Amino acid sequence: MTRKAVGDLRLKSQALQCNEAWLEIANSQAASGRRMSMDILLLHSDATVETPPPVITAGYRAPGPLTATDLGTCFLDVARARSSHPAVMTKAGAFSYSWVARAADCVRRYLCSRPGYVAGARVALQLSNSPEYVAAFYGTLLADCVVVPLPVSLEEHRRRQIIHLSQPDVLISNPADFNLSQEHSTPSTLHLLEQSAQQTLLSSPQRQNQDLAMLLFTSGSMGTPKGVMLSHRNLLANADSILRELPVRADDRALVVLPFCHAFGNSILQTHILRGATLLLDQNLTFPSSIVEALRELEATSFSAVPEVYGMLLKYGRLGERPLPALRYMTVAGGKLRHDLAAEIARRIEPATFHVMYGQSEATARLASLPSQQLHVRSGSIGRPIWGVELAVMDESNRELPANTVGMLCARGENVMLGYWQDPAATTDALSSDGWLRTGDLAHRDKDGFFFLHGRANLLVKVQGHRVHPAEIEGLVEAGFPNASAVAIPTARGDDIRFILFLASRDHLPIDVAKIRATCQKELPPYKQPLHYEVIEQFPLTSGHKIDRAALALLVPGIPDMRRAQPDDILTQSP
Amino acid sequence: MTADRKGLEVDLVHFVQSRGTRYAKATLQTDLLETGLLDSLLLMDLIFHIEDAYGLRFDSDQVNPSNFRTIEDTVSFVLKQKSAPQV
Repeated sequence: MTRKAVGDLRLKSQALQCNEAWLEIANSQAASGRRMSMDILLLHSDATVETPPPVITAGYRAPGPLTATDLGTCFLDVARARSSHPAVMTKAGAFSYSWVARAADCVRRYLCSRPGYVAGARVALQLSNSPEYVAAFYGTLLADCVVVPLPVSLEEHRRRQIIHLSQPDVLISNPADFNLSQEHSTPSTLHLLEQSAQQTLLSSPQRQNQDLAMLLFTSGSMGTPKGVMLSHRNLLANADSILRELPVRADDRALVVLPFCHAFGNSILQTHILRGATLLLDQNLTFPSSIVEALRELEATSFSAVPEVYGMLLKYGRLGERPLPALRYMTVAGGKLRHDLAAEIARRIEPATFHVMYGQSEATARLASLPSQQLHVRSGSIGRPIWGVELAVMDESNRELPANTVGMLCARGENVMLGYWQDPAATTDALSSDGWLRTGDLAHRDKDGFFFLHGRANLLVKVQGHRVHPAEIEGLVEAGFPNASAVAIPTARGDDIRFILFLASRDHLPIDVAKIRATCQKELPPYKQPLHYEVIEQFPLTSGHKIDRAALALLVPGIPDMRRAQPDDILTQSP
Repeated sequence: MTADRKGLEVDLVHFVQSRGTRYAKATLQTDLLETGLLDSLLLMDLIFHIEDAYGLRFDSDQVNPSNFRTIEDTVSFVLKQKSAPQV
């Protein structure tokens, strides 16, 4: 197969036949007035991708400034400039920018040719990090549709909630990530296979700027997911800010462990693609030592992860024992990394730099960054706002507080979300009329403009970079076991945060802990499952007759199973 | 917790199976890496559980695929460590 042929795509007749069958079903449903069911599309790509010539760092055509007002067109501009450069590398080989652009166009043509196609339709992506994800992401935007990324191992009831809330017209997956038993409709198949020299027929997307590009579902206080609405401008503005903050270069090779469906992972995707760099996707990064080996063997220039991963890298990864000459920088975000661990990572990766960052999904991804040279001076700081972002500490009435006063951390900038999907009340709570986002994090600012966090103003907890609201666990248990009151209390286990579920009977009849545990194991992903279930007579109450969560938290150290509830002394094994 | 092979096998299989529907069919011989069941969270939880329940401490050389590919591998590793003289 020639390289030119490798770069092309074709739509298999199978997919067309499936479409015709689908059309018949859709027509009959339309006639009967019922809503059409979600269409399912499975992407196949050729595993025998030809590896392009070695990366040439001199003489490449660097992408120009991002002038388009929609992310899809910006992607195409970069893809044209970087056509033969690898956008994604996997164990199967390298997928050039040209390949991704053609694959994205294939997805676009599929979406646009569907009966009942409308701009602004939601398209759910249930794909692990892969060339298919990247193609489906930009293909959806090029079709003027809205990306709704779903974690591949999303628990079933959560998946149903998100599908119900976002009403996607199509769900795109691939055979490896798709569980056929989840759906009733028969999937169509689209081969991102390179054979014919078919021309890409690209028309300019119509949507731009303030139009919705992506719905990122996150944990809500009522136990139901909230959809963060991100526009093209939000995504482009945050990518631009990050590119000004971090030394991302067109010859970069970023080793990716963060899922693209996560705000932090998505920002890694956008920044590297818009810079014309290469994403290294390796499926076997479970072991801390495999991450360090991959950084070395794949000559990765950068790496980003949540705090828990850095804890594991220090404890079991032997980070720093062997040199990583290609590495230029690492970043952490998605939760708080202990200052001594951050300093230790920085020491071990020198001369590469370590950047502590802070952000949230409502601000597309990232809001603040602590320059590596400030790490030792501003112990525990999340840094200063990145370019294009304003941060301020405010009181209840949205008035800015002076330095060194703790209040609500608020953010403003073009990266701040449009609002929550179909939830005007939650949007009003989070966004002020003059554009300030109340982050929910308590913070103070020092006299030099560096910010420091002081915990959450609400009950949200970060577990491995995922936001979890205790109401999700409590609601699930109380719905299934009406005689049980449940309160989930976050607790430290080593350097990890997990939940203890306290249970009390409402009617003095015994509580079936085994059944409750089985329900949680069935319905919740592992990071949300309580580590321990503790039945108590009655909950302690505050003076306002609310459940006293602080008093419950004080009971945790007395539970025998929780004796390891202390931070680990990770640094005893320093190489 | 005492560490005879049978008891360890039952305990660790139950530990993995009880993580949810995806894990329910895991057996002693299931390849946890090939099947994608072993993510970093399960790895961390397994280490915590074994350290707490069996009084072991893993060092960096021991947290690798050969000790965690299957539950059987982990059981063999724990037994070997328990029978080795403690330093």
